Amino acid sequence: MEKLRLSPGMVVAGILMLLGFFSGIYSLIQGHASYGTSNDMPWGLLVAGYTFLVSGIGGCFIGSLGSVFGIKSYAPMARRAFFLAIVTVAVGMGVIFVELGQPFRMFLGYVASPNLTSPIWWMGVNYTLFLVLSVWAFFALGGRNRTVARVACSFAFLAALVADGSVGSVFGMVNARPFWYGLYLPADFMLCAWIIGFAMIALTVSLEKRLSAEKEQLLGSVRRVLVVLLGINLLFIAWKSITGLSAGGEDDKYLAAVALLKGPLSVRFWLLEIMAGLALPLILLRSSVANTMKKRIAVASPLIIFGLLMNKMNIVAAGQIVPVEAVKSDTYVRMGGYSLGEMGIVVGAVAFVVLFYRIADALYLNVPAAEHAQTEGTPVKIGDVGNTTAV
Amino acid sequence: MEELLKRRVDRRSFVKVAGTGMTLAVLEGLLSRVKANEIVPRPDAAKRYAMVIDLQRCIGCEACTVACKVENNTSTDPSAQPGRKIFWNEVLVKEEDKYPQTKKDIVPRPCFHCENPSCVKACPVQATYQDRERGLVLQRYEKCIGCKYCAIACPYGARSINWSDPSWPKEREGAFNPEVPMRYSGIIEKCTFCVHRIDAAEAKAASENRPVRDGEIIPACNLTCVAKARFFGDLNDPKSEVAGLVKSSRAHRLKEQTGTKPKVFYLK
Repeated sequence: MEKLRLSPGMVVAGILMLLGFFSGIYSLIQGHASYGTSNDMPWGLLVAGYTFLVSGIGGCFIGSLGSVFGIKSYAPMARRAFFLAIVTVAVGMGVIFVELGQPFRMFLGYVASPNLTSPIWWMGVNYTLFLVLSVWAFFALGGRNRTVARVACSFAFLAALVADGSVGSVFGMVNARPFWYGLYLPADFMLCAWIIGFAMIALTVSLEKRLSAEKEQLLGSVRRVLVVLLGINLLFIAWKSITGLSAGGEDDKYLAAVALLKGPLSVRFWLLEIMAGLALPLILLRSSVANTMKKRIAVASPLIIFGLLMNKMNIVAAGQIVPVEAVKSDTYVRMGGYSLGEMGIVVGAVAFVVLFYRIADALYLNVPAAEHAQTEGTPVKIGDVGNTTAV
Repeated sequence: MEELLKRRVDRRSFVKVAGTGMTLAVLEGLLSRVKANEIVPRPDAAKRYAMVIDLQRCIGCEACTVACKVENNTSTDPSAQPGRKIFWNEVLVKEEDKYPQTKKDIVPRPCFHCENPSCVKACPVQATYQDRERGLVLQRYEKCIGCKYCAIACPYGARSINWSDPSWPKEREGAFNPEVPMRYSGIIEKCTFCVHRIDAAEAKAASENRPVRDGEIIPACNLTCVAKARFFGDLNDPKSEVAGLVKSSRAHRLKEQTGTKPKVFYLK
């Protein structure tokens, strides 16, 4: 078991986590008056932060590659990937909890008066189911029964697919918001989850001091997959923009696309989402020069994750920036900006994931093979779950 | 398959099939026309309360907004940020062009009490529900979790969020309407078509063993309208004033493409 050393990074993450925690408590006491939202733009940074964090469900997709799909090179990372998925989704649910106006009513309301036509109801149920199944899969991966692990991972994978689709449907089923309405967002959320899943794995592997040959090979494979997925994401964004612009005239979809491309959201769209979150990582990942690959991935993967946070913020804002009013307005909804409390909660949530992962990695996830037969570094036969040998 | 292809189609069977197809097509067309005409009484709903607002008569005085606030105890917090004020009935004004060619569009906007309400489908805990007996879209405040999805789903921006506990000027204290429940921070609210007035009128009619008369229910906004631009009644009663008005060529509804079938009609 590796000794856990307190690093400056962990101290900073701890402070940010505490900041987020107190921001959350303050918001619960103060109510959602403390957020930068309004009747015209009811969803703000916390909803964007929630959709970003629950996209960490992609960790489950990556964790399932080995045991469910037989891609053995990913098997050594399965437990870490599942762990990250569980933590990010749980923290994401915590973020949406403080976003609610009356959060404590939710538990009874979900059970006592469920509305089966509501995408939000299904989202809550699906994510809860996912958490249960993925915790089972996580422990099953650490156990000795490979059949159980395979079954648990398969169920968790299916639950993740359904849950991720349902968060996309929360936006995609809103007929009143043409920029969101339709098939695009559920598909986009699915793509983002896969990207975040691969980026999280790339980051955790690239930050390791010394890499085994298998992990270097894995990193190379993740790099190639990320390049493809980022390319697809770029195409998605391009087509979303083109179809929005082609709507033309006074159409809400057109106005939202214009807000994103050259309106109030354009700076963070072009600079933070496209340049920092997509273009720069693509440039960094494009080269396959072996001796700098680890460093380039260590820089590119957090940029990708940051870019996807910006993507969620832009999607959430663009869908609401065109007023839904009886009389067609010729102005965009005035954005009040994000409050310190909201920013504190989202930053604190991310810091919590980082800190919790770091501690768990040192104390539990990175344990030697003897303690966990199917964890990292365990030589088992090809075809077995948890095989570290790259195929 | 080959047999089918080889089978000869005689003139009689061709005429039969073609005739049936054409009859079905015509019937479908007729039926869809009836569907599009929303004013036919619906057998599944005892009442379909609706509002008609004559935009030619409306002078944009906003008396309806004030009456609504007083009647329904909505917060009048002067310190509320723009975009956080609570209006169950707001008069929206849009000015176009410059003097002397200025054109003003004035549209009073209550809740539209849609027949296919997107807010009801959106609410995860049934805090927003449809009173099918009367065609009203109402809110159970004690169930609302404040997720704001109904506000996101409403295509008309008719919902207000209580960002904090409501507050009023000092003069208002002690002068609240006891028939309307007070709201509080963290929940959503909206126009109810003055459901307490509907309840009272229906109870009175029931006690006198008679149906509710047309014009007997008068929401606060209608009562105060100086231009008599607003009308309220039951669309299922073919003799009601609103049932007559919605047949007018001037009658239209907003954002029909969303499929919500709003029950607030405007007369152009």
